[in-house]
Amino acid sequence: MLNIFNKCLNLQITKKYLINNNRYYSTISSSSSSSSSGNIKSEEFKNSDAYIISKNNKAWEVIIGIEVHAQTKSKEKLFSDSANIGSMEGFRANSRVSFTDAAFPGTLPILNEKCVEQAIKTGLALGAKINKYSYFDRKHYFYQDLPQGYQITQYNEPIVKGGQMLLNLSNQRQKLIRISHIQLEQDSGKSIHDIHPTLSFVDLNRAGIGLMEIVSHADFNSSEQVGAYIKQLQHLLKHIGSSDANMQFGEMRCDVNISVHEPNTPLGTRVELKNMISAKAIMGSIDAEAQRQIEILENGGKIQRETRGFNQETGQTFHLRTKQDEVDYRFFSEPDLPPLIISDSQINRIRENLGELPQDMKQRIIRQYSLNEYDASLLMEDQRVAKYFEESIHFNSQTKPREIKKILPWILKEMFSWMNQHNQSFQSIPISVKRFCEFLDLIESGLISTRAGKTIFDKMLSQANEDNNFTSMDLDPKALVDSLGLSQISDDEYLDKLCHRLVIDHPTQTTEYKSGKTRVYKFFIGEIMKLTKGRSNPEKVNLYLKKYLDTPNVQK
Amino acid sequence: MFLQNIKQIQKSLKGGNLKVRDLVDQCLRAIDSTKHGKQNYLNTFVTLENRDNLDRLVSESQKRLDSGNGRKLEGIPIAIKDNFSSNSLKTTCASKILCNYIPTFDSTVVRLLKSEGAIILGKTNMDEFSMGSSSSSGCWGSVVNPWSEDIEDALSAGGSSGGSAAAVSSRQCIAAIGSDTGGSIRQPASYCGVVGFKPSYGLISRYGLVSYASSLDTPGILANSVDDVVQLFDVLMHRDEHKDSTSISFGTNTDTETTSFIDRYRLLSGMEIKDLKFGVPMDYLVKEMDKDIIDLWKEVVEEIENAGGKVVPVSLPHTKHALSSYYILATSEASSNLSRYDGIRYGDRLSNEDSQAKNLKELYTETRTRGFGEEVKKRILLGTMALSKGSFDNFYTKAQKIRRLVSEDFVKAFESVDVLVTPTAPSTAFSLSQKTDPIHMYINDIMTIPSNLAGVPSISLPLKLSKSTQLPISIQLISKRLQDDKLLHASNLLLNLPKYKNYAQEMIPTLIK
Repeated sequence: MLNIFNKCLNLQITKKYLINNNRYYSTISSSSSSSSSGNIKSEEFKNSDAYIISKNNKAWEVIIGIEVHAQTKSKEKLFSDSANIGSMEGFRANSRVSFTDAAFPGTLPILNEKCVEQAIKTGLALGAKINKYSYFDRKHYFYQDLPQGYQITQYNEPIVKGGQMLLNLSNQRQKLIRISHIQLEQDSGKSIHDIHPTLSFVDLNRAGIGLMEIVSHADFNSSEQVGAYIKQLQHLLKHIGSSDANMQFGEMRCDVNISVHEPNTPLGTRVELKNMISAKAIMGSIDAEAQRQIEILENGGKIQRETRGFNQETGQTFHLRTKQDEVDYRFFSEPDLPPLIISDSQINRIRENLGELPQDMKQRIIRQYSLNEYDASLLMEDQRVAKYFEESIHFNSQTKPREIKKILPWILKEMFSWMNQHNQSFQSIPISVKRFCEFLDLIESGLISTRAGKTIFDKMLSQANEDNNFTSMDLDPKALVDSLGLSQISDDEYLDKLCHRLVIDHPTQTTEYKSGKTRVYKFFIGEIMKLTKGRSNPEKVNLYLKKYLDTPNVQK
Repeated sequence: MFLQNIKQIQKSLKGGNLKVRDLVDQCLRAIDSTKHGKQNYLNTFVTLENRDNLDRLVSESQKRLDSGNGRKLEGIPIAIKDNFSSNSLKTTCASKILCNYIPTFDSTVVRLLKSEGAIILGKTNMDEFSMGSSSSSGCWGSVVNPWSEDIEDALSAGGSSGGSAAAVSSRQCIAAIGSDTGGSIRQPASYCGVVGFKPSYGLISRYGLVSYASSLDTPGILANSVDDVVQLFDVLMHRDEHKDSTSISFGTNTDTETTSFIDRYRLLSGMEIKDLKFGVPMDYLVKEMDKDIIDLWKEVVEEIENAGGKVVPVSLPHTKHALSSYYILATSEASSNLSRYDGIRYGDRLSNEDSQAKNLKELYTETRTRGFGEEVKKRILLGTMALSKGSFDNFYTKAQKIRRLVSEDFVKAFESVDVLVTPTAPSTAFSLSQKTDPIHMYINDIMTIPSNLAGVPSISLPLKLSKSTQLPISIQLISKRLQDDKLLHASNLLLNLPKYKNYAQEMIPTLIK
């Protein structure tokens, strides 16, 4: 019976590191410019992004609620001791499955404390109330990748209640979203239908991994807000370490409930949107679905309660199933687990270890280091980047802190472009803070030029992936400088002589310069670079070149 | 030897007067009685451990005994109900749907028994998924009660742990493991004339026990004496925190956790009948009860009073609702627990050639329709109905409320008494050929069910034979939750009353005499 699993192959998913440069999302805002018609005063709503103005120049309000499923970051699964490999690739199908995960008769769930802690942490970070008495329920449905025939979830008394998130939108606009609750539940296995023409395969590696279902109130009015919410939530979960929350690996998934209605009229019928795999798809589906519902209503139709999917190629939503087809889940409290009782001391301990939240940290680094908003946002994309940046200011620096403007470009430009190029996360950067600071100090001390620095830095980065092995190499920059012969020539006597010689050897250009054609100065710099293979100290070259060029008569 | 208890047998084993080989062979001969000329003539065992493994286990135990390293249950042959997972031994729950299932791990009960040197003889027959009171609803046929006059007109061994009860009664093993969800240990123990003990819920781990109704399922012990029950319980009572979240430790403070059950039990040795207060719940006097059983109940009360014990009537006013509450809760949990047998991982699924299923839903339907027996289907349907949207509040929620009231009845009763005295079942073993309507069958459990709803420990003690039927009749003792030590001590005191002291001599079943 179990043999079928072992034949199953693992799906290989390519990792992709995403920097969210697309920071501002557009709304389906009021681009229509016609005047008001009928008794709907669309002008009133025209400039508000809370409304959509239809082709018929009617104002519609979109109401959206979001359910986010985020896999808890924990070594083991929610109710068993088998490894939680989350999104990691390269594992044999059904190789991380315990008797409990596969629902062997007689096995029982044991709650993983770590997952509880992650849910509490998330609740605290969202300013929610931790439910000191919660319990688990069984939700029943038959499906091949649900081994027990039911999912253990928290239907009646979830572990976290309430909470909120302040969305930062473009043009300094903000919007407060209320969280309804967070419930802990099990993930299902994966069904694989595309590797055999007549067989479906089931991989239970994912079955039983802990999920936090974060349910919002229906407080959203636009895809822009939803996009900002997903991004901020993702960021928060990563920051506090309660979930890796990568949507492209399914570590974070999102269901949308959406309805439209005319302002000051009762709410419309809601439709559920499922199975979108990126923030972009979610936003696209919301825009498309809002338009679809408005068109139906304006043509005198009715909205069906149903679940719909989203086709990214056509940009349209499509019917999945009607609500009537849905099974009765027959919830009842899980008899194999006692109620989950959480003490104040446990909550306090987690609160104390929560650390600085992303919004606070961002504001602080902007203040403390006089950063601009954009640079701070980039640093805060991944908490580890911000920490790395902060550490490199003072690391091993007995005297004064390193200059921010001399640190930032190496991180924001060089490291980020490397990560993009290699689809890697910051974790894979093969340069420790120690080596990075040694490198910065080589430039600062004048041993190498910034130009040579770029070569050294590329080397430090690229050495790591020669055999696609991203384990940290952490090369010594000084050793690289020596082996590549890139140390800067700062010897005053040598550079003085060199500049002197150059001026004498090129009388024509010297005359041109002295007659006011200062553009020719570049020629001298070029010659120096050629002669020193780019290793001369530019400041000193300037000093000595000017010394001879600005002197009326240069003696041989 | 058959009237010896485990302690006495172990003394003989350690003294070298008895070999493990002989002990095991006696059990195997009892299973395949030459007198009746039929292998497994009582249909008690579903699976027997194979000869090579048994031989190896026997010689290992003998070696340990010879070198003076015998463990608590060294060489003692034990039978296990077929709903406890046992590594490399088929575990079928007497259901067609699991007829080929061989676990690759041991239930905690089996693991603990093995670790103390017990020899697992095999797996005993039962009602399918423990649903029944007759041990005749399973796919392996009916268990025959060894008290039957003859095999052709057999009596039921009771159920659902009928195989275990009949095996202990006919000396096919020294003791057996059963499970008790609504009386499934105590009622067959009563029908077969053995001691049947259901401990407080949580004291024996459920890990590896195939779930019927999780909040009621209680592993327990069937044996020929209370002393033997104590020997086994000492091994099995164990907090299994890494495998079973509903498992608890005995006693309320951590000091007692290191103390073994047997040490705590011995602390009570000075306690006499006169130091205990007994309660008689008049709510258990149902109209279906046999006269012989009512007479025994009265007699026991008299004997206790004669020995100086106090007996008072107590009220358990919600008893009359317990049965309906039980059948809602048990079937609700069963409908959920049994949903994993869908033919995808577990369940005997038809091959692609034979299957008529055109889609996933039809595959489930086909597997479950073929695999489950009538009683199981009935209970799954009942439970599914009770949990569905329109009925939940009227059925499940109400049943939970009644469960709480029943539990509170016990709490209140135990404020004034130590032990309750009731019959175990309203009648003696019935004939397997007798057609009974389901309601009548369900009433069999009327006196055992309340203990499961409340999680309190209960024991069935065979005291004598019915005058009219010459079949064993039993008394049930019930105590406060987590006072299992007091319950077992009171049981021993009761069995040692002059009137019942020689009960064991009487309890030799007809078919093995």
